[in-house]
Amino acid sequence: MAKLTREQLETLEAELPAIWENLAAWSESIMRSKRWIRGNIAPHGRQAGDLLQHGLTLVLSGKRTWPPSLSVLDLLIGTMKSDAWSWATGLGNREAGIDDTSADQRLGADDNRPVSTSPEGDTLSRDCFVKLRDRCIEHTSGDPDAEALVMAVLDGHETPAAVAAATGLTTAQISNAKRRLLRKMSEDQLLEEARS
Amino acid sequence: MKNSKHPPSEEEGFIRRMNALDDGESLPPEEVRSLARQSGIDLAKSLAVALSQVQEAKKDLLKEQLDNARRERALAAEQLNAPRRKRSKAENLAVISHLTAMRPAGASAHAFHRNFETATDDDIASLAAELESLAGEEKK
Repeated sequence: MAKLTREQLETLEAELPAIWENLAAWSESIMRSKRWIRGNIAPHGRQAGDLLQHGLTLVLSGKRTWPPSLSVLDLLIGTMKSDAWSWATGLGNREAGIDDTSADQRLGADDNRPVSTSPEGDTLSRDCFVKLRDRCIEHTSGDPDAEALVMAVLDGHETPAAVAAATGLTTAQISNAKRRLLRKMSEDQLLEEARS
Repeated sequence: MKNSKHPPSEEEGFIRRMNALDDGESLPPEEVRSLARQSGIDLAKSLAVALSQVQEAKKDLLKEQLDNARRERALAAEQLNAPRRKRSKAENLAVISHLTAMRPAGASAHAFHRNFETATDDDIASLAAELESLAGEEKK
């Protein structure tokens, strides 16, 4: 765990005021963008402000590595995205290497439960992932672009360029198809959680 | 929990890839103000908190650096103040001569070239002790 240097701390101090509104917008956007996994992604009713605050804490504590080429804005956006993934799934982010001790319990889920298990930051079970994947496939019905997108991701592609190459779609078509699909998934999740 | 102990299942891998695809999206600049407002974040207040956290981290770092410097200085002082072996002036000169000869050319103590044999016994003993201390440091 590498703590920040004096130069890095001074860079943070100098740049935060100019990008703070941008970061607040990103925190809200990221919170919304993970609802397709868990409607209420934040444990203990946390909100966008908590995601931003937690992201900064991770950076300051050295739990998030700061590659020299990364701007303060990109560093904090990346940290919030990883953190939101952890909140939504209860899993650490393999790429980011963040140590998240808030979620270490694997809970089971049966078919009658919503995909989300609880808002406590617990880990999604394998059943939950199966259910999410199946739901993804179901929601492509009647949407050929979304269907092609999901097939490409099932085949192992994960970047817009790779998906575009595999499907013959443009990156704009992919982005739109993904938005339509994840919006439907989010609505489903929120509805199910409201019912349960 | 540090990451997952098990490799991700096929389904988890799929969800991770969908997530990665989603994470690649950028935020249109025209949406920034509106989303920031909808976030419910009090920008001025939260920025003040964030900056005070950075200030705190700077203070902690400075304190850590000062503590380290103090520890190193105390260690060095301890080595310098260690009781010196009582030696005669001739013995001290021999020690200085021996240790100076071991050092690379040009790294000898300048004082040694200035008729150092005429210095006081205490100065000679002190130089011998310092050279011994340096030799000990180099061996570490």
